[in-house]
Amino acid sequence: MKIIYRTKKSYRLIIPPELHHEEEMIISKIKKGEAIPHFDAVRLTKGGKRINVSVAISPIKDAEGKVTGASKILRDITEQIIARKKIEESELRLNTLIQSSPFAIGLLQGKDLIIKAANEAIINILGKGPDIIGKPYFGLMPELADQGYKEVFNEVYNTGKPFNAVETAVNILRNGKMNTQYYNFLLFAQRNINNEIDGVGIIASEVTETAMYHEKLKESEEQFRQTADLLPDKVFKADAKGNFFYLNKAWEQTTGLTQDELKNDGWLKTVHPDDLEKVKKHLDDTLETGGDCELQFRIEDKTGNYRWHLCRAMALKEDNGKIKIWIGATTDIQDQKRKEEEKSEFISIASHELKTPLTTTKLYIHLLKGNLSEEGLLKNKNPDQSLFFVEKAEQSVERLQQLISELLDVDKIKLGKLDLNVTTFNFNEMLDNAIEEVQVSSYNHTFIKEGIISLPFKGDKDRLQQVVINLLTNAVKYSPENDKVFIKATEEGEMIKVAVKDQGVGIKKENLKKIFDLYYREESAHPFQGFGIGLSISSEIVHRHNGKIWAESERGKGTTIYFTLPI
Amino acid sequence: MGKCILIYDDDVEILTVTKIILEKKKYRVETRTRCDDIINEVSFIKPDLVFMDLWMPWMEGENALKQMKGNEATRHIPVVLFSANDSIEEVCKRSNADGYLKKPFTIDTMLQLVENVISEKK
Repeated sequence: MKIIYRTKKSYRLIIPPELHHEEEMIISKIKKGEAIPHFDAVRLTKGGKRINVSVAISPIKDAEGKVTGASKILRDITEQIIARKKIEESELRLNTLIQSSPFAIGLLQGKDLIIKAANEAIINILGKGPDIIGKPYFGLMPELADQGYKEVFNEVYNTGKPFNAVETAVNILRNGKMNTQYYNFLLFAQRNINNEIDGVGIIASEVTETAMYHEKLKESEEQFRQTADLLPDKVFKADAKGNFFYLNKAWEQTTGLTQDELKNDGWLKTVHPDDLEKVKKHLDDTLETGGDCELQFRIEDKTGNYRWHLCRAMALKEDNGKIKIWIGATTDIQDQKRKEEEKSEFISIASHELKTPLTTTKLYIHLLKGNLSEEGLLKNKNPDQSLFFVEKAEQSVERLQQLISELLDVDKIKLGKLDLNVTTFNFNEMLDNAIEEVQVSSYNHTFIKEGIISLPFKGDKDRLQQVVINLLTNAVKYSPENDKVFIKATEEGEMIKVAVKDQGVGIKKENLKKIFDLYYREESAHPFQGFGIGLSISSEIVHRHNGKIWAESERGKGTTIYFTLPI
Repeated sequence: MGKCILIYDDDVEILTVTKIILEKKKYRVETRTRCDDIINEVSFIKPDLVFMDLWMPWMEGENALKQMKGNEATRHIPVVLFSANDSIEEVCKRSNADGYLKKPFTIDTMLQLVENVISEKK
């Protein structure tokens, strides 16, 4: 010790000048016999470098208790200090990060989940004011306990398994008002140095806007699907490469295949083999150009029949023109197609039918011209022949006129302009007239009439006679092997019922209703004369009289057409 | 005896007028409104020329023509199709008919065609 004091100068050497006063204080304390416990200080090394040290000083006393010196222990604590500083720095950084984070962060301590730390974001979300540190979480947030979150937190605390929620609606009481907002949040276990769980951490962010957007998207998608499922059209969505990823119910209903079977290019299985090449090529072209698609092809339905469809599709594109998806609809146009075919066949039949009397008219006029030429007049010893030619030409012209008026009737039916000229007349007489007229040109058939209508009838006599003539002519036409046609007229209550029965070829059951359609022609009727519109005209006339018309038939045994008219 | 011509058409008026025209030129004319017994009829009548309408009830003209051309005994007899059908030219080609007459036609075209076909076959 003496040495130390003697070398007063030297201890000053290791103490930085600013701490000399401290040393003097220490010396005075030691002199009084007091010990100085550990304290941190700075000392200088030989080279003048400052180091952190822990200093402890105790007075040294002799037997009488007089202070004779001091023992001084110095421990280099530079590294400890650096480590502590680092921890402090890191804590500060962490704290700043937590505080300034836009994510809501909170730390709950212990089983009672006491709020230990909370940043501004979570304070705002919880809405219970800034002073929440030290309060139990569910004491502060009873509304969350009501929503079952206590159990969720306990589960995290007890098992250590994190809990992750995405776009979840949470009700929070703020300023006395319950607010529903959507959050993404993560609850995770906090562990102490012994790796024991001692709390729960919360990281949350409010995503109400995104969640609502997604909800709306989902809703609109759902609405689209529901609407699409209601449509009779086959609706689809495909990706940019043309792979179908959505098909509505109509697809399943028509084809009998499931969504999964139809998806991607599964639907191509339903396309008619003869159309497949065309469909694939059109598909490739459309995918390449990104243009609108419109194509007709046949699709096999679940009964194995192919039906014509019209497919329309368009690409939904991004701003840069890149195709996002394809949406399309495929419509069953079988009936339309059939009607078109029937119509075009009708036109071809009509022109054929008109050309026949036109041919005879022309030929008779030519013959007449030959007879009336100078040479002809010299040669011809039979003037009656010229008269015959004129009569024949006249007949042909009449036939033409009749055909043209039938054609006009078609137009009238289509426009709903078939007018009736209503008078009161003798129905029975009208029937007889009709039979007589058909008999003139039907050499091989006999008409057998049964029943008499005694009541006068109010209606269009000519039009109804046209109906009966048409039914009788058909009966003759379709029963060439038989010579009898039956016509039966009865009064049934307030109704007149007429039945025209032949013993001819008959009509297939499935076509019994169709025969009254405009342009419909029985397949076996194709080569027969006439437009094949007689029945639809008849049907229209009967309906105009508020009556009914229908057919009963058996293939090979004959057909009966009935009509009733209210009196 | 004049050459014999057999005409098939379901329209009686066409049969009447063509018969008058051809008889004026001293042809013998037979007419039928159905063609479903064509082989028997042609074998029996042995015509020098057959006129066949395309749209016939019970059996179509083209079918009857096929039967005739497929039969050893009848295939040498020339057949002229006549119809108001627009596709007659096409049908004529594919069915190996010897000529066609599109309705409406004139007396001269008909007689010219008859003469040509019959003389060709001589």
